[in-house]
Amino acid sequence: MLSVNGVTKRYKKFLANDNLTFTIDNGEIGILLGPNGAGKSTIIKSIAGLLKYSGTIEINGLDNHDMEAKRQLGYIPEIPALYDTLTVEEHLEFIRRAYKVEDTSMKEKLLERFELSDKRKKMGKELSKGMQQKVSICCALIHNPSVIIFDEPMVGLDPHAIKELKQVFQELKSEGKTVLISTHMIDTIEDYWDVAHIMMNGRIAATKHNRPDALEEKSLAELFFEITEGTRA
Amino acid sequence: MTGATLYRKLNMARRKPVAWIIVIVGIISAVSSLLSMDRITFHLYEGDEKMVFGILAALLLFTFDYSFAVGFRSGVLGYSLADVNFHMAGPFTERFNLLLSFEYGLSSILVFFWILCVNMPFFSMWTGLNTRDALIFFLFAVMAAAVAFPATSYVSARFSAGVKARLIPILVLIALHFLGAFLFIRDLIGEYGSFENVKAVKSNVILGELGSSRVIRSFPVAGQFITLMERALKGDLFFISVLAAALVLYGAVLFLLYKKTHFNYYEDAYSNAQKIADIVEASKAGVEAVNTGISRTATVGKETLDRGWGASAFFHMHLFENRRTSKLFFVNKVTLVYRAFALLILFMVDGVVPEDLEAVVVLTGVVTMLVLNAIVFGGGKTVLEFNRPYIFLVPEKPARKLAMCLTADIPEMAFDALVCTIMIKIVAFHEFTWFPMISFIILMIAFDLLSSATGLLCVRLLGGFGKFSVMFVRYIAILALIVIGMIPSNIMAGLLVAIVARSMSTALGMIILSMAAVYFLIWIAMVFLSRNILERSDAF
Repeated sequence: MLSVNGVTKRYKKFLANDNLTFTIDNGEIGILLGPNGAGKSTIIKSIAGLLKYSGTIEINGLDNHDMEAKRQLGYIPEIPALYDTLTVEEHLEFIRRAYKVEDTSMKEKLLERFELSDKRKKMGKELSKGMQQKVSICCALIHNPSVIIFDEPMVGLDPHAIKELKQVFQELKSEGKTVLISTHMIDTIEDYWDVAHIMMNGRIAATKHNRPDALEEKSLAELFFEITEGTRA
Repeated sequence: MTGATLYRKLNMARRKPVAWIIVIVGIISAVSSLLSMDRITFHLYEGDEKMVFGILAALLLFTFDYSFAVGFRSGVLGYSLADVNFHMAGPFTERFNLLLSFEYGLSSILVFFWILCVNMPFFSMWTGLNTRDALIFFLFAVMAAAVAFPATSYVSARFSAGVKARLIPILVLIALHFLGAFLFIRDLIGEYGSFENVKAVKSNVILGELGSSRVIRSFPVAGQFITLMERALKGDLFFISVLAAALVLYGAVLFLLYKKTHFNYYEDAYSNAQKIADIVEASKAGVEAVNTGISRTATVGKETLDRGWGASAFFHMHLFENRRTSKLFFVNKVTLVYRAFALLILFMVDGVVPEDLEAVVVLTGVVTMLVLNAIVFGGGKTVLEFNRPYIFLVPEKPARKLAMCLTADIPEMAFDALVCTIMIKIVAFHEFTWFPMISFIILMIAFDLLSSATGLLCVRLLGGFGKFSVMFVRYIAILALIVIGMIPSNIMAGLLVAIVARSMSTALGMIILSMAAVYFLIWIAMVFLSRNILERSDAF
C-alpha cells in the first residue's frame, strides 16, 4: 500500500506539490493525470526518496526512506538513464544483486517478455530511448516489488511495448501489487485504472474512481479537459 | 550493496581497455620519473637545501589546498542520472552512495599527483632533489590529501543544500592564505630591513625563507605536516609512523562521523544530474567543471539576448549565458591557482638567471604559461554544445559555428592573459615592456583558442575511451603544438629581429608576436579541419 499524507514540495517560491494526500491500496492501479508542470513527476520523485518535502510518504506502512521500504519499491523514472558501458543483461544482473534476489530466472523472463533477449549484449549507450525505457522497466520489476511507481512510462515505447506494459499493469494488479502511474497521455490510459487523481498546479483537483456504478458520471477524459481548460477550479 | 556495485564497476571498467593502458602508462611514467631523479647530474641550485625544502613546503601546501577544494565537489556533484535512478532510488544507503561521488574527486587528485610526479625530474634539474626526498614528499602529500579530501567531502555532503555554508571553509582557507602572505612579507621586511631590500633578494632565497617561515609552519594541518616532513627529510623517520598512527585515528573519527550523520543530499544530487551529464562530457576533454561554468548558479536578471544572427548566435548565446552566471564570469578561480603555481616556477628561474639576461625569464614565463594551458583551456562550454543538436543542425558553415563558439571564451582568455602578463611583469620588470606585454596577451588568446580546439578534437575523436585517455592525449598534443609552433615562429622571429629589432624588449615582442601568428594560423587550420566533427561524425 502506498500512502501519501500532506506532502508539500517547494522549489524556492514555486509550489510544486501542495498538501497532497492520497492512498493507493494493494491490488489497485492509481493514475496521476495532469498537464505538464502539474506536479506529477515531483510527487513520484518524492515517493522514490529523491526529493526533500514536508509531510509523510509510507510504503506498506514504512517511511519511504527506510531501506526495507526501498526494497519493496520499484521505480521507473521519467528519463531512462542507463550506464553507458553496461550491457542490458548486466544492468539486470546489477539490480538483481543490489536487491539480493536469489532467483535468476526472473531476469530471463523479463528479457523475453520485453523482447530484449537479442539485445542482452548491447550496452546502454547503444540502445534507443524506447529500449532504454524497456530496460528501466525490467530493472524495476526484477526484485518483485510490492509497490511500483511509473513516471510517464509510455513515452518512447513502441505500440507492442505499450501493449505489453498494459498487460504488466493488469498482472501486477492481479498479484495484489500497488501501482501508481504518472502520465499526461490520457489516450493511453483506457480502462485499467482503479483511481485517478487529476493534478493541476501542484494540487489534486479531482479524484475519480473507476466503478461500474459510476457510468453516468463524466468520463475521465471529460473531467480532465474540464479541469485543465479552466472551466473548473 | 558493495557486491552489486563492485560487479557493475568491474564490468564497466573492463570495457575501457585504452583507459587501463593509459593508467598503466601513467603509473610507469610516474615511477620512472621519480626513479630518474637520482640519475640527473646537472643541478642549477646544487646544495641549496633551504630552497629545496621551501619548494617542497609550497608544493605540500598546494596539495593540501587542492585536495581541500576537490572535496567540495563530492556529495552533490559527481553522480550520473543512472546513479540517481539505480543507486539513490534503489536499496543503497545515502552513506554508501557518497562513495560514488568520492571516486569522482579522487580521480582528480590522482591526476594531480601524476602531474606532480612527471614534473619531479624538472625540479631535480633545478634543485638537485633526489628520489628519496621526493618519495618522502609524496608520502606526506598523500597524507595531507587524506586529511583534507574526506573532511571537505563530508562538509559538502552534510551541507549539500546550503551552498553558502559549503563556501565558508573555502573562504576561510583563502583568507588564511592572504593573511599568511601578509605575515610572511612582514617577517621578510623585518629580517631584511625594508621592502626595497626584500625586492632585491633573489627568489631562491625567498623560497628558502618560505620553507622555514613560522607563518607556513603555523598553517592549519599543512603547516604541521611541513614541520614533520622536514624532520623526515633529515632522517628522523619516527614521525612518519607517529603521523600514520594519527591518521588512522583521524580515519576512525571520520568514519564514526560519517556513520552517525544523517545525510540528505539526494535532491541536490538529482537536480545537478543533468549538469553532471554536461560535466562528464566536459571532463572527457579534461575540462574541469569550473572551467565551463556549468557548476555556477545562473539567475535571470535584466539581461536580454538581442544579438547574433546565424552562426554568431552561438557566440552571443554563450556570452549571454556566461553573463547570467556572474558579472565577473571571466574570472576563473581555479585558473588563478594554476597561475600561482607558474609564478612559483618563475621566481625559481629569476633566482638563477643573471640580471642582464631578464629576457630568458620572460621567455621561460611565456612557455610556462603556455604549458599550463594544457590544463586550463580544453574546449570550455563548446564541449557541451555537442550534447545538443543545434550546432549540428543550424544551417551555417561548421567551421564558422565552431569558431563562433570558441571565440565566446575570449573574455575569460583575455583576463587570464592579463593575469599572466602581470605575473611575468612582476618577475621581469625591465624587459617586459608594453610591446612584449601586448604581444603576449595576443599570444595567450591565440594559444587558448588553439588549446580549446585541440580539446574539442580530442573529446570527439577519443571520447569513447574515457576521461583519462582524452586528458592524456590532449596534454601530449598541446605540448607537441607548443614545440611545433615554436620552430617556424623562431625562424620568423629570427629574420624579423635581425632586420627590425633595435632593443631586447622589441626583439622579445617580435618573437612573442610571431608565435602568436603561428598559433593563430594553426588554430584556423584546426577549426577548418574540425568541421568534420560536425559534418561527418555521429552527432551527440
